[in-house]
Amino acid sequence: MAAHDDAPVSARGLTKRFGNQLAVDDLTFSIAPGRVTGFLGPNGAGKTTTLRMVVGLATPTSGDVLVFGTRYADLEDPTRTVGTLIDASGFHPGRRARHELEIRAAATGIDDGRVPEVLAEVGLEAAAEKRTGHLSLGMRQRLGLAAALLGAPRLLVLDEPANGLDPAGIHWLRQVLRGYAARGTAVLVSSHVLAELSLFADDVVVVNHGRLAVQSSVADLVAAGAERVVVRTPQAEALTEVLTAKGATVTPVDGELSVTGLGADTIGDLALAAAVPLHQLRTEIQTLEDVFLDLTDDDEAIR
Amino acid sequence: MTATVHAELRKLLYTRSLWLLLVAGVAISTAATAVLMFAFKAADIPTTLSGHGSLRFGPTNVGLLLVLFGIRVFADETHHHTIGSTFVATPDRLRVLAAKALVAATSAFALCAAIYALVIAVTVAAASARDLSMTMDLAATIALFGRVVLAMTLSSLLGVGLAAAVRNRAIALVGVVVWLALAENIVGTLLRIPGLMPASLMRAVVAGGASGAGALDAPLAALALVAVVAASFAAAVVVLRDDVA
Repeated sequence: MAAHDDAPVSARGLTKRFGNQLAVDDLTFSIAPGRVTGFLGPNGAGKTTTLRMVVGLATPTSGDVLVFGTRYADLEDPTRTVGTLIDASGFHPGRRARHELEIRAAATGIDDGRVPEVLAEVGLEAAAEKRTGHLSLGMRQRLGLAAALLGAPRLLVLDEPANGLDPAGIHWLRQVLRGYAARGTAVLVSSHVLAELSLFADDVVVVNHGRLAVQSSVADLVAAGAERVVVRTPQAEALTEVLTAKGATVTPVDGELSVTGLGADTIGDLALAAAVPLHQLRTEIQTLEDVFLDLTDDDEAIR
Repeated sequence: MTATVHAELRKLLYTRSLWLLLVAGVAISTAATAVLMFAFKAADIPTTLSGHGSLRFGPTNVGLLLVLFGIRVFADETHHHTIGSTFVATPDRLRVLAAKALVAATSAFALCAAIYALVIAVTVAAASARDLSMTMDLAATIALFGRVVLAMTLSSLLGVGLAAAVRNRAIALVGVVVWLALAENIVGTLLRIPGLMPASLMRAVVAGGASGAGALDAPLAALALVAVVAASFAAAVVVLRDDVA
């Protein structure tokens, strides 16, 4: 990870409170250039609030978040530094797609010649003259991404960019974001849909109830959670006692025991020595989804 | 600042319903003048250009239109959730507010100039066609134009300030219409300061003197109207610090 001072995004003790509700709680993380970082969490975990604080739309209650070592509001040329997609519905329905981009180009002195380029990049050339009120959600997402790409930024901050995209669109989005990361752009992309991120994110920051659950590379996260042994026994309490005494972590799941920290052979030997009968003993490879479900304790929200 | 103003001008040009509001103002004023000049009896038509009712804007016609226009210049952004992308591109929110105020004020001036040009053209043509006697008191008309521009510019700025302070387009639009149609008279009477109400101030500025019982002279009315606009902007500056929903 990059140092706090020059990382594309670095948050330290970031906290946001709305009245009595703590939306983001002492969040500390950073992301690295040239990598896609998935910002994951269930609905209501504080993802959008955090991204809004990154780009200055919301003020932290305490803590801070810096973009390349600077507060977003203090960036000399924000649009050429950070490309942002926070709200795909954020277009005037009466304006044409091309006009929306020309307005944003004018706001930061970007040449209008860039507009057809980004429209082509997101596959919206044919819809350039359409009023945004007539665009589908997927097309508005593409238009929002085009707006984010206008300034050829070093950092992309995208909130749920795959919403409304069809499978082909999601595949396209993955390729676009991977392409930008390969050229050195840092990509911070939020989602509550695990499957779409697990296919192209290099790193993940997982938040739950506003708190950091884990920050890791995807590869490390999967590796760390790969060893899980599922045991079925009529003497669950006795076996739990034996296994935890040997340092294992034992979690009852649907009438079975999920064991991490010990291999299946060791568990079998320990059960035999303790005279605990086993009805089933199997090793399971944990998917990334299993790991996230464990981290977020919100089975309904993560899919 | 130039880039921000450029973006705000583009928002105006690229939003049909916004500039059509201004075009409608010009069309209605010109049409009303044509009806007055061609259909009314000669005795009912003013004999001086500066006395022409179509050149004396009020709070219930062009003034109201410009307050509504000013509201939309800002409140369309909150209504359509584009304010977030505006502040992301220009994090200095006061600069955005200033650019919107500049665009609203410039539009008010352009609207006044366009209406004056067309109304005077129709008036001169009709007077000539009907052989009506009309004194072209240019000095008085230019002075009236100056007062009208001042009042209308402040009206449009009041709309911008209110919308930025309220951050809800429907409430701002309905609130202004209800205020001008109903509430101002009631509140002014109850507080015994009818002459200090915004619409009364606007009328006094355009009239160039006290326009009724309890009304202020034009310079004082203009200052009071500036104070009302300043108060709306002060409230807007406070509200602009809030998070963007």
